[in-house]
Amino acid sequence: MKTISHNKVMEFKSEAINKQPLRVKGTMSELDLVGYDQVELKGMGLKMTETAREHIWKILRIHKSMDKLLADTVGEKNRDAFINTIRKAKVTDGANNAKLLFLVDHQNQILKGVVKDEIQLLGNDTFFSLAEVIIDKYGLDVTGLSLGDEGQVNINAIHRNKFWEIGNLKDETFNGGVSISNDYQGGMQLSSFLNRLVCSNGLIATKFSDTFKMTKMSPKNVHQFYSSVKNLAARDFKPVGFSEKVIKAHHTSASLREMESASKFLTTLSGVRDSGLEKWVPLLATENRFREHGVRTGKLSAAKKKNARTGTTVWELVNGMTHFATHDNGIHLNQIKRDEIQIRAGELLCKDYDMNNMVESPF
Amino acid sequence: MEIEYSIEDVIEEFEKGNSDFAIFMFRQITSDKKKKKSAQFIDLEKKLANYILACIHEHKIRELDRTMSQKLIEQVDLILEWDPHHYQALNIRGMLYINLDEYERAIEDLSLAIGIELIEDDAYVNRGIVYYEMGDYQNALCDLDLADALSIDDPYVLFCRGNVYYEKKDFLSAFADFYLAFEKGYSDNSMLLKMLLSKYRIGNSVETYSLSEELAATFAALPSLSLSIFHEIRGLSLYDMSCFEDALEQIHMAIASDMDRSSLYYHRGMIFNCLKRNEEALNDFSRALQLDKEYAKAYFGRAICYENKNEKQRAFKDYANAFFYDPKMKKAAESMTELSG
Repeated sequence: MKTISHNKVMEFKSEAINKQPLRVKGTMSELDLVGYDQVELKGMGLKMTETAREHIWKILRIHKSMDKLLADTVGEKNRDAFINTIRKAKVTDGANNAKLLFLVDHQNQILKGVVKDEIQLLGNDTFFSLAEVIIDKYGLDVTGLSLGDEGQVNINAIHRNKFWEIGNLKDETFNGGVSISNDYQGGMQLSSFLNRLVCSNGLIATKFSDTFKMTKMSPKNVHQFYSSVKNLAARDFKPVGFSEKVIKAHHTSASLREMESASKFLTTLSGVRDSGLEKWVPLLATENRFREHGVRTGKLSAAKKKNARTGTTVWELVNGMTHFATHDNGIHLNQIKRDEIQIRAGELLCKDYDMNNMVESPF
Repeated sequence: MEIEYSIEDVIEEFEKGNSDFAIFMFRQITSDKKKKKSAQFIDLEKKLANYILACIHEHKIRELDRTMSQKLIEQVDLILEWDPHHYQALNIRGMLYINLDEYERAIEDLSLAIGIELIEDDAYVNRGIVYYEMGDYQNALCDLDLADALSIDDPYVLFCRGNVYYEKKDFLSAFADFYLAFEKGYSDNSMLLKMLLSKYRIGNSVETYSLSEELAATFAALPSLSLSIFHEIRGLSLYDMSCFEDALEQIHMAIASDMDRSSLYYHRGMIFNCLKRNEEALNDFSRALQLDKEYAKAYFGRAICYENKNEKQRAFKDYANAFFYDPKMKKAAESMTELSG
């Protein structure tokens, strides 16, 4: 896991600040739906992304299925006119004309999202200032940076000089650190970032109690955010309960459902099909073994798959995913997708394992 | 054949400074139980004890280093071997243990000494010092109050008690004790500075400044570090009195005596701020932060300078740092909220 140079971090920072959408305050009455992907906001003509439309539909309480139904029955043009009529009708009622924040890509004239004004968005400039306070204070090395299309940003940083072991498990030595992200929906989020030294696999642990989310800048929230960081740092960036989870994952077999789910997730993000993923998630080999045993896994219900023990432990599955996410395997994956896989691996580690509920039977 | 030593031999070796050999000889003698019981021997033992204690008293016990303290403890052990209830020996060994930071042992010895001589103030003072070093200010005050009652305004006791009050941030009582000690002729530099600081912290800058005038002659002979504190307090008093130019002069002098103290640059930055000299203030806050990366107030001061220059992003980051290093600094957090809005 390489450290990203200070210059590169600075370049990334200015890109992230430039790329963040403009936050325009307004109400639904100031937005006119001109066409399916065209709006006018305060008289300014804008294109609209799929995400922005979903946001508007959600605010207007129009279900996605209704959108499709209307398009099929009355045609797209009439559907757009109909939805705009609903918007107008709703905004005449004051209660439905709440203050909103419109996220506008001012360079390309695109509406990227709409959120309620009560969510105080943190700008990326603010985000970087807070992240830098932490990185400078603890001398963390930045190892991962990602920037999404809508300006969402994530930084992974580790404390190289502090490492710890998990019980007496061989090869389980870790560096800890933080993963800090900012986006207009989740706000600023702090999670543990873990680096398994033996293979340099990175894992983002969003489900431990040390995780903190800040959707609004207030003295209380900033204080809590800092406290979370300080508590984590006091434990050398080792999340509470992490050792116990790893030991449990080490001694618990993954279910077929968990394995399929991991494989499907990697396929969705990478486009690589099952056979290409065998090295990390041995789903085909597992299914073959079941077949040899007389069980056709394709015929099993989800509930049965939950009870089908595989020869892979949860920990091996977690490591397969983090290895896939961290290393250059010749598969094109941008950093956002890598982060998503690392987060999913962390979630798998923290979940209640399917095989956890098996009972030794005396019969 | 074993050589037989006499008490006179032991004293002679002590006088020559060969204390290790003297102790060895003494142990040889005391191994002979018959001799030990003889009246002549007991008399000689007492002489030896007095001799050892007199030697120890020649040293300034509180200023001894660890090696010397350890060595002297061995000699005192000798006395306590034949008289476990020797008040002076227990008191001295307690003091020596303080030098070794062995506070539990020190308390044990001093408590025994107090049990032996209830109306002697020395052991109370020393035990008070131990409690003070351990941060147990309540017990420290109990002992020092008793010592004060027994010694009646002994300036050293007042100095010790003043220190306890000072740590407890009871600056009014600290100042009262320090000032009384000062009036009684005690003029330890650290005490005078604390006395001045206590006065300043009581919140009366005018009186602090006039006290500093009174002490100015004493302080002329101060080492540069203490002189720097003296000018700093004067500068701060003048700052509180809104005499910014005079305050600036005092802080300049303080910095001239000690160029590596971050607080001085912070104070000068604050004065520059009041004088609307933004760039100089900013430079001073930055210098303070070079010396102390976790100086919350300096971050806050610099954030104000950046705000004055309309550099909001830099201001935000400094407020963020200020609040990180001092979570009590609510103003910094409020400014962060304002700037991020």
